[in-house]
Amino acid sequence: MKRKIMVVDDSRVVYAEMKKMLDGSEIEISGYCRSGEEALERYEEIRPELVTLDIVMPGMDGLDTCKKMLERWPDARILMVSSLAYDDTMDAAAEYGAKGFLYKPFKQDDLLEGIRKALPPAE
Amino acid sequence: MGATADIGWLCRVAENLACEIMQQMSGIRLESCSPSEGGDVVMDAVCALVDGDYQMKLQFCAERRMFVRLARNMIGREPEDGLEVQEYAAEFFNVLCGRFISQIHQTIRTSAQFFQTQYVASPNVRCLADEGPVYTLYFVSEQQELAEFSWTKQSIESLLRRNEEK
Repeated sequence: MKRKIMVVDDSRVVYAEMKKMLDGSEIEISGYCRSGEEALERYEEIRPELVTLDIVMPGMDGLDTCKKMLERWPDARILMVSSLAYDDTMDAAAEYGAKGFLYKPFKQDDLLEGIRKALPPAE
Repeated sequence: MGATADIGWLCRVAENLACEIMQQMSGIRLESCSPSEGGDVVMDAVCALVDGDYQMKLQFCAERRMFVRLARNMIGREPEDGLEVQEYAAEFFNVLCGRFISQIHQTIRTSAQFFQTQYVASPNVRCLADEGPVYTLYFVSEQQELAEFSWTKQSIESLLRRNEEK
């Protein structure tokens, strides 16, 4: 059974790259949102096992989205994805409850490993 | 604090990141070259603004055929249209900018955000034309495509100088 993730990134390129890298694996993208606001609107409908969340987005940034998502859905699992690697950003994300941090650019192995580590144990 | 952070260091960081990220994302291999090899080549550009503890405008210029090849290599097929090429160029540049300002932050502990990534098609590439003095690094690919990575000097130069004086 496929593991379901939701990708949140304002760039369609990131979504396309992730889709390509996950093709053939046990992981599928069950939802794609282009903003933090859209992710908060659609989370309940999609109910992914994991959310990958970009940090730099127009409107609500990824850190704020992470905080709000975990306030509303404390069992949500979030993997932060960004090229911006500030220590305090990573610390803040971990403090809010994010399960990991993946740096861009990532290779297929990095993406698979990051997602698998952040997913809940399979039922 | 770590490495001595002066302009020479910043240029080396920028050069290494541009080459590494271009290679990893698209397989295109860049090498530094001298400006005289550029001539009057027509280029497109992606530009971004950095704001926070310092202000900087950045720009990556390349011959359009390089951006097309970047998109083609990443997608695995011919890009459908110019918009698709621009999206892939913008994502490459977003990653480059993020890593560049992250490296500045890690070394001199200063924060900034980047935004407003914009693709500008030739012949109207003037993103940094009226921004004062700039640093520019020049590159050539393995297929003889030319590229440049530039950023405005003033704010970051002051920051590095203050940091050296500490």
